[in-house]
Amino acid sequence: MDFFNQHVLPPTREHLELLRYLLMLASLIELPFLGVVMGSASVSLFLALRDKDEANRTYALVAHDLMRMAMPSRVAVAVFGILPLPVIWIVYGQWFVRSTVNTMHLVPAGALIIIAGLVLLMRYRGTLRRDGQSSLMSIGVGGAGLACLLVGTYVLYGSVSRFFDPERWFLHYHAVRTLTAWSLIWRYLVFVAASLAMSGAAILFFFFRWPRDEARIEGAEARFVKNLGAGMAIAGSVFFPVFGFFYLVTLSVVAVSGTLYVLLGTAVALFFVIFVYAYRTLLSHAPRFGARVFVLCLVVFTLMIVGDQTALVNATREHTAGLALEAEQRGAEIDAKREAASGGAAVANPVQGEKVFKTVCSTCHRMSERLVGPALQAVLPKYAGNPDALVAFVRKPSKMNADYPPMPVLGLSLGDIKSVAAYLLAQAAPGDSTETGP
Amino acid sequence: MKKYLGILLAFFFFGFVVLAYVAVGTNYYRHRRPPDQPIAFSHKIHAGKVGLQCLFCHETADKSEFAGVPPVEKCMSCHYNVATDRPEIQKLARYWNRREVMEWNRVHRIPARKYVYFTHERHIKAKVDCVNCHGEVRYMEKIRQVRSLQMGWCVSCHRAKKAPTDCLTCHK
Repeated sequence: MDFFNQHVLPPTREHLELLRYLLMLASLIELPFLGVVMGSASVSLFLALRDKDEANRTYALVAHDLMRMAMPSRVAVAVFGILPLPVIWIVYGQWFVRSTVNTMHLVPAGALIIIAGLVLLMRYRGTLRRDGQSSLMSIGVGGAGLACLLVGTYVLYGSVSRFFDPERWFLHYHAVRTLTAWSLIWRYLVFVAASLAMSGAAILFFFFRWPRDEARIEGAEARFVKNLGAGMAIAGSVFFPVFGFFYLVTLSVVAVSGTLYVLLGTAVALFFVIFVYAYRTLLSHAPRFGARVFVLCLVVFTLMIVGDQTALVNATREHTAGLALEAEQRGAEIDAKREAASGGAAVANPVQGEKVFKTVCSTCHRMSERLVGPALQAVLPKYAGNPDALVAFVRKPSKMNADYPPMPVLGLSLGDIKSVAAYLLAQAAPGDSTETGP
Repeated sequence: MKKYLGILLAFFFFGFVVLAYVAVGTNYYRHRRPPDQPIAFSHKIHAGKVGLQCLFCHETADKSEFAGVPPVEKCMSCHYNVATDRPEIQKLARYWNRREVMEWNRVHRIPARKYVYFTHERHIKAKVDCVNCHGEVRYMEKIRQVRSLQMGWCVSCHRAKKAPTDCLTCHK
């Protein structure tokens, strides 16, 4: 975290809001893509292995086509799989700057493992042929790629897991302990279940409906692929609600809010619809509902990502308020420097000073009586002839007297403060002279 | 028939899960959500912007088991003059004029407190910052509990700060 604390400025409230939308967009590109690649690669590897045992042409063909579907080209992999990763890192870095939790290095670590996994799976995809067995070597490469993807996404999820639980921020944990928390495991399993459903939906959509309603394969293979897609969608939609429940239960109270329940509840309801469509696809002879299931899965993924971010926003509310305050103070410092540099702007004007005194200062101060703050007659003499000291005090008040509550920073401009100081010292001075005069 | 059986089973499964969500959600809403207070008091303004120290209002924190909630009189010592045009302050003034007690809703409560002895005094004397257990209160508009106050959490802090972890320290 030290790296970030040295090089990143705290974001303002609006800036952070914008960054969160960016994060949502980046996650919406990255996570469904990774989900589909993970789902397709596992099935493809399984089929390639079965094909080695049984020499089944359908298995070889589907194993090949699945990888072509999930990773259509190098450009697609780069745009969907690699490009959003640095964006996610930058946004997290901005969001969690100044925090004492030291897990931001897990984001680039996870990202590198994910990239390695994608490269290995591209190699595996290149070695597959539609009508021949794949070598054990290429299956090994594919297996390593899939393992990398699983580990990489888990590490990426784990990089922010401690931010969901602010009560343990001040304790120093080993990375292993961070990565074995129950709440992280359930949160990750929710993603895995959604990915499973998403892969099934992608199979139903891209094999039969896209592009232009043309099926990529026909006959017995088509039936096999249809059942495979529907089965995966069903499995995903059954597991998601269960994992989601444990996710909600293990999440720290600070991260939970009514919105999160509504978002996840809606996702569960939509999964029921996905289940019904997938089930009917499984029973019918022709592939149906591909587009509907695909769109619904995308919606559910969006709900999941928004829900996850809502939980993170809830848990880090005070942290972000602190950041916004620091950004505001920096802005004010810069404004003050500008005002000082421009010179002429901040001129003391007693008439303006009187106005400011009556609207702001008089809430707590009177000249001759104690109110919330002390009587000004008693405290002004020490500033006589030294308006700069008074200006400095009003700009950044420090506790002077234990009998009174501290004076707040009032957010006045330098010109206003100078004017008030001039007005007050002028008020105090003639009073002194009449008392001491003849 | 087979077609409908599957969908029926799924309906029961998803219905059961939704009910479980509703149950957990209701439990959260009733018992774990930050409670509303009689007036919309903002710690963000008082502890943050004005910069009042915690002990200025919670006077007994360094001398007793309980931190204490300030009486209306304490609020009025400033709000006799300050911000009297705001509706929430006028609400406060009504309590003062009617000599009514303000019934704040408790936010922090130690779970299984029957078996635990906790005192604020000891922790403040050991120079534990209020933030450690109550969070960044100065940034909270409405106060909420941000620490579980569960035993495991207490012990992890006791260990980190080399405070006694003997059972009798807390369980008398």
